[in-house]
Amino acid sequence: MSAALETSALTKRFGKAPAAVDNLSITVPRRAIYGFLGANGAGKTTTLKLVLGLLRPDAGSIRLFGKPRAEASARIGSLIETPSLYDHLTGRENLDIARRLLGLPPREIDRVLEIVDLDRSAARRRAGGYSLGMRQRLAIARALLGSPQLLILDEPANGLDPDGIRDMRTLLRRLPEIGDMTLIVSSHLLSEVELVATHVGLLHRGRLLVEAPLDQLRGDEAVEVATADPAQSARILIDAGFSVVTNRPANAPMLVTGAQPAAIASLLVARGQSLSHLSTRRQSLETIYHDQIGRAA
Amino acid sequence: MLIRYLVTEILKLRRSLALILCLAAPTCVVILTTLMRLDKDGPVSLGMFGMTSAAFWAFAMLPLTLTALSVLLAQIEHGPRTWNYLLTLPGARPQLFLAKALVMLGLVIGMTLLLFVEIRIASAMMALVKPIDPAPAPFDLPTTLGKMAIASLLVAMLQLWVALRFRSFVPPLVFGIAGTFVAIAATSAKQGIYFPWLLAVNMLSQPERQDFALWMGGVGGLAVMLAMLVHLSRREA
Repeated sequence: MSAALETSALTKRFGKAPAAVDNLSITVPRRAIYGFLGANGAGKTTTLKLVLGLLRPDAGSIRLFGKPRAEASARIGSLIETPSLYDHLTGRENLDIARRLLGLPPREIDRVLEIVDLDRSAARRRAGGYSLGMRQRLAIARALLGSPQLLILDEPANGLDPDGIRDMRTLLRRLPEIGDMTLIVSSHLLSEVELVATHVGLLHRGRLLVEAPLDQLRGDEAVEVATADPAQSARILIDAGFSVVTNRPANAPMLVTGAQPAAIASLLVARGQSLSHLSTRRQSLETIYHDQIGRAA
Repeated sequence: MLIRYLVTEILKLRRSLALILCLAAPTCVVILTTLMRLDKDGPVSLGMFGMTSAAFWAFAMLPLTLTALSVLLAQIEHGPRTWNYLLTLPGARPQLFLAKALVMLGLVIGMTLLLFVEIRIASAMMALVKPIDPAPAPFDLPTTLGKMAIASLLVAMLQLWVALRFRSFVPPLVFGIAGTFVAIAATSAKQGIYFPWLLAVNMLSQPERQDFALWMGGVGGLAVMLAMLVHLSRREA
């Protein structure tokens, strides 16, 4: 099955400045929630604008669901940069305008309002009076009109308060379950992306640094262990065949990879070791991000 | 698809400042000219009243209204940055911009009709309070106002092009105000007939000037509209 989005050697320059997007090749699998990461100015929005046809590439190609971009543009919904709404119209009227442009029946408005959990009384109010969270939800509702197969959301949690961020996270997680939908979520909020993304692409100065499923990128789960006698505990674990990370900072708990916490605990306790700390941890997206950016620099 | 774009452009006018402007501009002209006539002693010539209203309209209010209207129509999209959404929709971009041009044209025709109706209402009201001069009107009011609307197409499309091209409202505002002021200076000049902002005023002069202004305004307006559609459709968002 072809990917939802494939770009090949995509390049975009603005004037004589270095390329905003430089020879970029990304692949977004179908039904993935693809976290498109990068610092401000990394080229995320430019890439998404190229995918949406708002900008023309200087080189490279874009394929959506195996077809050239122009042939499949009707299968995309998007929210780029800011929730662009007509403030003098109500939420429902905003959706009605988009619905008419897409040639959809009126019942489609109620369907998308339900998905984003925007109640009908709120939809009857002018969009100019909405909070930022409501504006984001209304803009996502508009992007969902016509059940697009690829939804592109550029910084959907930007500027939201903690409640708004949580609501947005819940919504994003629910979207792929609603239909055969692939999500591309561009953001620099790494902790948020980590909570929703299945795949990650990391962009730096217009170039792709890494692209992989998030689980693969974060590696295996490791177990942090602290005992009264760390050296003895480490020998016991190594002798038993566990993989112990030894080059740890001073006073940091020992790290055991590829093992279940219960097996480690029962072995150490059986050998008379006194456990003071046992927890699991994985490499965070933030660590991965800074590691990759550091290598690129 | 053009019909869809047209319908949505009309729906966007709900509660908009653009629509309020279209109601206010002709009304202001009629109120002003009515007060001027009522202030004078003696019988009122309804023909002259119509001509004065049309002259005020063509010379000052129409060009200034076209300036403001183009800005307000464009800012409906520029303000909230809705181009980022509209231009990603499947459909031909020229139709989107054509729909905007047609709405602008429709609003000019609407304002012209409103002006005509309000002049007639004001005339009827003045006849109740003032003696009427039976002298015939120097020209046919509906025809003249209609010709003014056609002649203003060139300025309307120039204004709309500038307003849609620039996200800031300053360039179209400066363009329109400068055009109107130059028009005031160029009124008595021999070459004034060629100045786009004076084309509508020419409908109050000799028939040959009227014909020229009508052609230049109408055909020139269509040509500018085509150029605008090509240019804006090819631009990157």
